Amino acid sequence: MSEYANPERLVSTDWVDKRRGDLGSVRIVESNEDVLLYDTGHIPGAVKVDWHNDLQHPVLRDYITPEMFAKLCSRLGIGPDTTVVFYGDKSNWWAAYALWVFTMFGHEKCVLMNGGRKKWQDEGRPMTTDKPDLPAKDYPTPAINFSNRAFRDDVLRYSRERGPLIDVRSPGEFTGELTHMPDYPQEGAQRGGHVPGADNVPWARAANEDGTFKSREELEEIYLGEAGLSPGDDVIAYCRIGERSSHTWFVLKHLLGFPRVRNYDGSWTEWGNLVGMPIETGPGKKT
Amino acid sequence: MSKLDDIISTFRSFEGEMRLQVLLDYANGLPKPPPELMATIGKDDAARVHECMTPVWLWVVPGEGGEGGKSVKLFVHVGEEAPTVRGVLSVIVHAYEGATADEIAAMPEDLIERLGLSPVLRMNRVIGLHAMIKRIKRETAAHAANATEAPEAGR
Repeated sequence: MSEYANPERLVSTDWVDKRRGDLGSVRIVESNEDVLLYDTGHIPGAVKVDWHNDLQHPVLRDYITPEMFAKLCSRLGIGPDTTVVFYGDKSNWWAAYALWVFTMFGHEKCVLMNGGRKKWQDEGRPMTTDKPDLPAKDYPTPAINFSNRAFRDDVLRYSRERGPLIDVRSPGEFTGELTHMPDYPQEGAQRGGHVPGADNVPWARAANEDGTFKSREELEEIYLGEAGLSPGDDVIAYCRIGERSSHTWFVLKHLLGFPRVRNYDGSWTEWGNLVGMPIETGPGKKT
Repeated sequence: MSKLDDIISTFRSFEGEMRLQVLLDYANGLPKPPPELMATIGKDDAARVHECMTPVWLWVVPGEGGEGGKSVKLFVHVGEEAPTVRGVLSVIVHAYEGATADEIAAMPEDLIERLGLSPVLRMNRVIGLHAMIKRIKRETAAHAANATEAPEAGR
């Protein structure tokens, strides 16, 4: 994994297996789409962070406040210097999402376990339903940092100025045939299509069959070659609620080393429901 | 008191996140479909419930007894990776044991709210589960209609 731009951000299942006893400086966090999956069995020593119940504000459509983030970390035994290792289901969508949220709160020591939950299980590594008993740690209230987060006005400006904008949804969602991802009716939108000027690079292009990331060379071929990004680009990625684009954000930011990458978490469920936003249907400028 | 009412009061006797543990118990207690039904997966996708967040297979087979001898038996297969969906389907299977297809098709669409799960599952997931419940109701009605036309078709 040394080929990647920030190799320290990606660890192997083997790395995690060797360090899972070190609950002092490392905390393993499982983040899944399904709120109960962790409870059916997880890596020994791992704690759960639910993308919805733990990271979303209970009232506002936004993330938790810095105070709530500090409390969450404290409860999970995470201190400001703890290395947090994220893994999860669905090729690490939610793990990447949780990692991105932690980054927003300035927790830089966070890494992703390549291949996620499925690879760990497929390799026959140990799982348990026992929850670790961890002492709470002090976590000072962090400052919030939006340098990795795009808002709708940023995307609107990018659309007008033709900034590098990557739509990571499936081709059917991009062209406007589908207003939600196949099988996810709850994340629909009033209008289908994409932000004018966006390129369609489905998130799964970056993943191998086993859920691990493709090699740097293969990733460069996709994002620099086919999608035409330049190494110094300030890229914005979006999907429908920001989880698949967190996966692409991780690829662009940490595996390919783009200087600035932002995830538009409002994504299509915001854009496709707003009145008066520009929308393009069809295959777009290039696919 | 119906079986569903019993299950609802069990869920409601717990607070907040504890209700998720009850759902997990149901997920673990989802009865396995008999091998002959499981063998059809991948060969005959008639039992696949489309539009669910998670791949779900549903079989409606003639049951024993019930009102006018019309009871049906539901068998469901859902992957281990989707315990929330497994849990909700297990609640349905247990609540409608020995019921007729009509009774299943009349299942309350606000089942998740009645179980007191919407505050702990949150809006996004609840909408997905609602879509699934609607689909189960429709599929049950359709399977039952097919079974009436050709009794062996449901097997």
